[in-house]
Amino acid sequence: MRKKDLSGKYGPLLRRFVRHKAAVVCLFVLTALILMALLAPWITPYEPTKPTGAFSQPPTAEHILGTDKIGRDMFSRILYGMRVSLLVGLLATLISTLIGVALGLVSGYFGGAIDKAIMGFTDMVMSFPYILLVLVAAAIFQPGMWSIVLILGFVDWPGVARLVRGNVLSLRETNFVKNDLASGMPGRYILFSEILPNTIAPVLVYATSVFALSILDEAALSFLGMGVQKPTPSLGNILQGAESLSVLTDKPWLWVPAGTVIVLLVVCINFVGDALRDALDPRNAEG
Amino acid sequence: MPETPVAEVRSLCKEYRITGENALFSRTFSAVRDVSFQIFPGETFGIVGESGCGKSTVARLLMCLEKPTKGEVYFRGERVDDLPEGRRRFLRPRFQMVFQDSGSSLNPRKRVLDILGEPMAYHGIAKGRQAEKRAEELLSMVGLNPEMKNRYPHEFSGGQRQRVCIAKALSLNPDLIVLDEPVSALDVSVQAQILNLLRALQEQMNLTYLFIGHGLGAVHYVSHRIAVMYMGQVVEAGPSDALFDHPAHPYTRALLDAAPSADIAQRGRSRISLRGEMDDHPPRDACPLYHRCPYAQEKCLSYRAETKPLPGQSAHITCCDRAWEG
Repeated sequence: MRKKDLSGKYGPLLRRFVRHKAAVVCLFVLTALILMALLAPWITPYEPTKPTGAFSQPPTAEHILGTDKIGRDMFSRILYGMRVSLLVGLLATLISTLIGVALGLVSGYFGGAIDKAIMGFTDMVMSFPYILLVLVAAAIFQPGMWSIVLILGFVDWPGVARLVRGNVLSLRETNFVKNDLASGMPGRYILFSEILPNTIAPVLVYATSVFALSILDEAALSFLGMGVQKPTPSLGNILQGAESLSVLTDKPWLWVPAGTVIVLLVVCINFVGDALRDALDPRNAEG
Repeated sequence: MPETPVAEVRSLCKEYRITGENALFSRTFSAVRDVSFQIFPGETFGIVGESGCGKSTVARLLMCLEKPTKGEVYFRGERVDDLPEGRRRFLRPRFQMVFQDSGSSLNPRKRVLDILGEPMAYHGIAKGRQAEKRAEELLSMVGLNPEMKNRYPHEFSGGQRQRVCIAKALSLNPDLIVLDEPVSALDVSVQAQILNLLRALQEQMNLTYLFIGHGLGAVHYVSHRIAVMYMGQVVEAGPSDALFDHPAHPYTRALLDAAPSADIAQRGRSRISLRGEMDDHPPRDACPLYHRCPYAQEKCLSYRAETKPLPGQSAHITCCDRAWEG
């Protein structure tokens, strides 16, 4: 095919990524969904928070996904809800990754008592029933988009911290780090110039799964009413409509599209993450 | 001796704790026992011994990457093993190390230019354009094309990577380069190239090497003086040729005899060989080679573990009683 175009510095990386057919499809779907969310005001003529039609109207030409219980356009709610969900996922992932990387680096590099303390704390956070912790935190703090971001961000980091710590421990034993020590290079150089760049790839891959997980958690929390508050739409609180049995059986347009979008987002992000892992690993010989 | 040694170690000991299932079973393992030697400017001091004899530990102790349990490390007459790392840091560029595994000696995410340039910049040797020029010089010095400065480590062969490692060690103008089995992982033909390179560099720049290896041929080829280590001890040390021509310690003889020879004149010679494997626990106070030595006698069970010069040869020392008696 166009194999010749895939050269240069990122050529091999791209080639390894492209081998995952499903991931390529997912990348397109994901890009389309993200673009739709970003361009929401230009795609849909309706405000997501204002009633613009009849109550619980099935899909029509004007409202292609129907309207919700108080007459708001479902399509625009989903688009705007996607914005919120993606933003929550992204910010929560960013926070947890930053915390995890920082703690993992410190823990792995300094070792000893610091390592024990940090890893003990990490195990503690990991051993809490996750959803309960989030629920309690959501109940204590004012529920809303920002508290969700913070809660998820501060709960999701242990995995990253362990991953980074493990990486640092193995990198510390490499000869190039020993050589730096023997050459009298300072700790900040070893940590940030030698070790950190070598942990970016696995962290990036892990972050994609945290991203997908955060979107799911946001949906779960919002569904339970502890997350993003109405009238701001999010994929989770749109699903709240499905709490009643009559909606579930008789008005599928109120929940099927939002649910589908969540599934698509999570599945696609995970597939892309998988392909990314294989692409970033240079040991995967070129096929 | 009037000359100050570049590096000296005195009665170096290193013990590691081996922790078993519970604390009661933990014991100490002596990796290095009472090792002393001096390395003089412009010479190559070789250490040879089988795997696990403690030769790499000696290198790490000399480089102050680990703290000795006992003993002292001197660098140009100054004691360095008890210096705080903050002060030792400024001495570090002056003793450099090259490792066996060149694959993990270079950061895979950096270009050769940065690998060479960053330490030079930190230690104030060269910056920016100047560092780039110096990197090019270093690459051509070790026999690589200066154009290769923009490559990543995985784009080199093993021998080329080892050359880059040598260039890196040279970049900080060291007084001493510790070569920890620099050729053991390479093909025989590449080994010879690297050894020749090391010798040529030494002649050009009057470098001082500590060369560690388990291949006798390689160590003999580059070293002026050699120490033979067995189970953490120096069992024999002396000028390279004297040690090869007249090995005094049974272990050295066995090592020499174990190496295949292409020399027909050597064929008929009697050879000695050791029994069994390196044993962690020779009887207390016994010679460490007791179980394996073909000449082991009752008196070897009570053994003084001191190295003394051979009769009439002040530079050639060994710890075997039998050798002194002749």
